[in-house]
Amino acid sequence: MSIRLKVIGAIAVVFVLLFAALFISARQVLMQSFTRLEAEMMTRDVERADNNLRDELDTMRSTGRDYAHWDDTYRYAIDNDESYIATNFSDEIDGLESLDFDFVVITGQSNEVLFVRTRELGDDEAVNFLVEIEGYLDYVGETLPLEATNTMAYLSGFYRLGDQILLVATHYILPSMRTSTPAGTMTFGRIYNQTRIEMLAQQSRLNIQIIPIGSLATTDTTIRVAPVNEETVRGFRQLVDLNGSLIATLVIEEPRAIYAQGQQTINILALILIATGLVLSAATFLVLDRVVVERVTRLSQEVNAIEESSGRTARVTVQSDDEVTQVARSVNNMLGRLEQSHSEVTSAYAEAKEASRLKGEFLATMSHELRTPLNAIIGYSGIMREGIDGELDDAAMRMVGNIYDSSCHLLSLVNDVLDLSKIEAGHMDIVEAPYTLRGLVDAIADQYMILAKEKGLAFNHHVSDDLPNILVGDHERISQIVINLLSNALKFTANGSVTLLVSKRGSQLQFAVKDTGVGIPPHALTYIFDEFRQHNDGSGKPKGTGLGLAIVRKLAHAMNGLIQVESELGAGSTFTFTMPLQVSEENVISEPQFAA
Amino acid sequence: MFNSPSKTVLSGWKVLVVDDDTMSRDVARLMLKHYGAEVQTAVDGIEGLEAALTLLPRLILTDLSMPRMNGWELVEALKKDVRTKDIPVIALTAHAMYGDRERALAAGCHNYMTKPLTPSTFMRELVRLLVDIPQLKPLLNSASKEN
Repeated sequence: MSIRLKVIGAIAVVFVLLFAALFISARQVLMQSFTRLEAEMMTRDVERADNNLRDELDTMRSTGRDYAHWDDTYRYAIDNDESYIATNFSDEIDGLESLDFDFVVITGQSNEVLFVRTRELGDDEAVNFLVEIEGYLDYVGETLPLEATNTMAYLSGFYRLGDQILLVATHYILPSMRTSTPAGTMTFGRIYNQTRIEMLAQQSRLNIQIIPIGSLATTDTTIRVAPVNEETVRGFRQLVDLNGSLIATLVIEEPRAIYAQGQQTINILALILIATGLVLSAATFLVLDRVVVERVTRLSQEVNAIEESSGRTARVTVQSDDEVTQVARSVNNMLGRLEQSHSEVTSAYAEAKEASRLKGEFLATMSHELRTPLNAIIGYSGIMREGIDGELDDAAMRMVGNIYDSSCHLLSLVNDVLDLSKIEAGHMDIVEAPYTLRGLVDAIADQYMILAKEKGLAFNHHVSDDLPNILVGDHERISQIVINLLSNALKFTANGSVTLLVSKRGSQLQFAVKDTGVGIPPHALTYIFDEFRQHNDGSGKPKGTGLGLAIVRKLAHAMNGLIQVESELGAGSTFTFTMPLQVSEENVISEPQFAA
Repeated sequence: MFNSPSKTVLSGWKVLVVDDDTMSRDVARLMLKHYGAEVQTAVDGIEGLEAALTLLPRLILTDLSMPRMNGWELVEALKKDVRTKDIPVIALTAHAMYGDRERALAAGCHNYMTKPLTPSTFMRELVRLLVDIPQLKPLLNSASKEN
């Protein structure tokens, strides 16, 4: 995960958390105050409706009092003169309608009903109404007794009549001067039905309902507010009747405009928060990206590029002056030191290589220079020994033979040193070319047949029939290896035989040199291929430099081959040289090549 | 075959030996003479080329590293001259100088022999090389063949 992604992730997390915290707390606070505001508004509205209702009652009471404390009404209560009714409450003049009362009831001096009229009701229905209103009149008889001393007393308020709620105002009937005892009671009332409620609603410009209540335990008349749902809120007030019993609930329903306003405000707030948050996040990211991320990324890319190109002179860009620059400077310093130590190492390596090359060259030159006189010694002593340039006497012959043998030995030592120095100097080139396998083996065998015979040993050789005749490889090196193994076999075998077997082992070509010589003890098997190590056979006189097998092994490895040895002390040894078998695509070799 | 060549195997042969080392030259001369050859020697490529043109030998043995004109240059020069271009040349190389051998063959040498030359193996090897050369094989003294 790149730094840029991590930064983006961190900013996103911070943004989300910040937004959530701000939004939730703001929402809490805002919605609380909006809800409180809503409740206050509702309370005020309920109060207004309630006040309107009370105003209505006050108007009714004052109108009722005007009629009850009037001489005409007093006279009617005394003498029951119908002209009073005709003048004030006859159908023709619509007295109730003009006063906007639904009914009027007048009782006389012995509490009997003198007159009852209801609006929009016929006389029969009025009788029914009279029956129904009997309860109220009984209540009036109890609470406003005619022998009362306080003649200014009255009843005014709600009264429940069956399913209906009445608004009533009852006064003693008195003469205008209020000087005598009451002549009866006069009651005005309104039936508070749906029409009345709607009128009240219209007047208050509120959505008002008055819901009758069967019975309620409490008489809590405080205003309460409760939301119905997301769209509607309700305000309540219990209405009590003249007795103080609950009879109805004044309910006002309103759309939750304030609440909706609150919601909208919160939505706008959320939008503003998101927008601000995004802008701030983007700005933060851009600043971080500019100041840190982009530069760190570029630094990383530059360092990577330097690593990939392995350019030693390349440096990262350094600009401005802060921690990132500090890192870049440190990287450059490290690169500088790296370059320095690299060049030191390189020059040291070059020096070492040159020294090694000079050593190899010296050895090559020296051995070459040694060989020139050796060649002469071998040549001349060989000629003398063979009697080519005249016969010698026995003593001279013996001495010349010793000179010849010793110089041959010395030459093989010099050759070994030369070979090894060439191999170690890396000058050993493997030249692969087609060669005839049987030609190679025959050339070697011809030579060793004679050498074995001279030592009184049998020499056998065999090439497997399943081997093709023309192979590809460096025949010089192959010959050198086989000759070396055969020389060793001959050297360490006193009697018996030396055998060379060439065979195919899967995809490998194998040369096995087997002897019946002294054998090699197991502990010696581990080091005989090491340089300058030679197993001492007990005769006390090492034969050779101890380089032969080391050279053989190195040559074998250079050809992807392998040298192995098996040996039993006193019974003989078998050295095997195995290398990949490469068959030539050519069938004929144009040039003869063997001079083993 | 030719395990022990007879002393007359090269009788009637003219052989030129080119080598800057006096003793190497002498050893080669003695051995070739022993097997019946008429031997002429030269000390470097220039002398060798002159001798080849005057003598027109049947066979030339030449060292490779020599002053003035080395063995490879000599072979090239011989190959360029119509009179000498068919004379087989056998290079005499030092041990382990593998590159020298490849270069010698590439320059036109017929084959090579590794120094030092010792009487016990020299003639056997030489004869082996010579029987591979069609124009020389019939000229080897048939009496040398043992089997």
